Amino acid sequence: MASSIREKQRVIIELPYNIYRTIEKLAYIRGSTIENTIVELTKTLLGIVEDIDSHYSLKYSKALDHAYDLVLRAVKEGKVKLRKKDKAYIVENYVKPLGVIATILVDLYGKIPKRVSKRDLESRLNNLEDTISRIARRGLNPIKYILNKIEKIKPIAPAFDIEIIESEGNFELVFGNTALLENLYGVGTRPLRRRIKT
Amino acid sequence: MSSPTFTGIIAFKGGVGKTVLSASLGIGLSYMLKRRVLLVDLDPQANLSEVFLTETTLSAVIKKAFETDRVFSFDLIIRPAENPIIYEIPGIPGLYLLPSHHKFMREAAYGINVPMDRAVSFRGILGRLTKELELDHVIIDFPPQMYQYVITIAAASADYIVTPVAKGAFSIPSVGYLIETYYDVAKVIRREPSVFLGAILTRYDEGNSKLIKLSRERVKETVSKSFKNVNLSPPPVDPVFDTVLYYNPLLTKIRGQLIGFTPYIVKHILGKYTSDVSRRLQDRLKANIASLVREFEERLNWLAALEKSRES
Repeated sequence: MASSIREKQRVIIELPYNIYRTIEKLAYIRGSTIENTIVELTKTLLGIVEDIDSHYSLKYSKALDHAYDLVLRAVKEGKVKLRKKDKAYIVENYVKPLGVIATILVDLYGKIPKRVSKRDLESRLNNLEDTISRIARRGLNPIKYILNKIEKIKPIAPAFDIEIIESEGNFELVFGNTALLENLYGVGTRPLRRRIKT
Repeated sequence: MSSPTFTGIIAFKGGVGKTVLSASLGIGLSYMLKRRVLLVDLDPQANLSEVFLTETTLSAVIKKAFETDRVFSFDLIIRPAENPIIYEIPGIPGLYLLPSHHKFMREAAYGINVPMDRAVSFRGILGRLTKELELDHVIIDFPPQMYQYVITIAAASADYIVTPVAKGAFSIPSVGYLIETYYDVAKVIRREPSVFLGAILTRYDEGNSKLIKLSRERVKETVSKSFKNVNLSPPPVDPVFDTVLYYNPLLTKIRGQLIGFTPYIVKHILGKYTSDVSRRLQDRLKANIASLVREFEERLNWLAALEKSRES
């Protein structure tokens, strides 16, 4: 579209009469021609669409690419050992559970905290149940659910500077660089899956 | 230091030394303490970019950005899926700049609205950069608070905030306004707002200890009063840095170099000018910056240890 405007190609648009009258009025108010007003409106609209598209492409695909890159980097550095290095496999089995953990923590604490322990989560059990029923399904045991996710992310945790400290019946997550998880908010959760399908 | 820190340099008033402070911290941390630092220029007026980019290097950076399809600092907030352009500052290894562009001046004039999720995405991008460039510090230079998006981005992206206080009648009250407006909004949009690391007195004369002492006491009073006004407990650290970033003629000429590749201030830090006057000023500046960054890191370490002990 942008190139056709630059090359001054002729584009014929059929506008409904009332929209044409509105644009005509707008053009007279602005002191510009009707054609220019239509071009400017289209450009503005395209700019807005591009901004929105960029934001959602970050959320839906680029964030996963970046996470995959981090995992591969850690594999090369020898911090992480994985048998399968297939992107789809890593995203599905490791990055998405990490996204679920990030979502739960952001919903609970407002942002990703530097440290989270089981005791701390148990003290916020009511909120935790609400969050998990929203992002997964109802009736799950929140602590078991989180433990399950932690178990899944264990192999790739060093790639995201996460330290998992486990002792008898207790666990603690220490995030070295919380900013690495910021863009994983929503990844692997039910609302986002449904949004993509529709 | 194991985990990277994100520090925002923020002030209500313009012309108090945000850019000079950001540049000094960046240079001090990377050159003197051998840390890896990214300076982010979020000011549409591109002052920090002007410090480190000459006309020659700016045109090269713009050309490279166009050719490699990379964007400038503020583009990342509007279009977060893009890749940023990172400029490695010549002469100081480990010091990087994410520059601003003069085109943002026009956009800022029409008003930029930054929703919270975009600001959080920006922090995510900075997080990725810390990993890619193996950074220890990210220092974000904000514009004065007349731009509305400052609080949102600072609240989302900075773990700590630092404010410069220049010598002058309006500077000390402006710290009070900053804390009140910033924390009033930040505590709502981010449940745990950034920690106030302290105010740094700037542009005071080195021999004027009486005025410095008086100003320090006034800033302390203002800070504690402002925190009380927004119903928050004051920060666990002394609200004013012991180190003062003194007036130095070299810092007043920090911006606006037109030709060459190495920035003016970097040339002085590396000791390229060898006249007696330059040497004296350079030594003073280096000693000043060294004590500033030492205190800066001490405060960060102390706060990190405090947080750790509180959590455990």
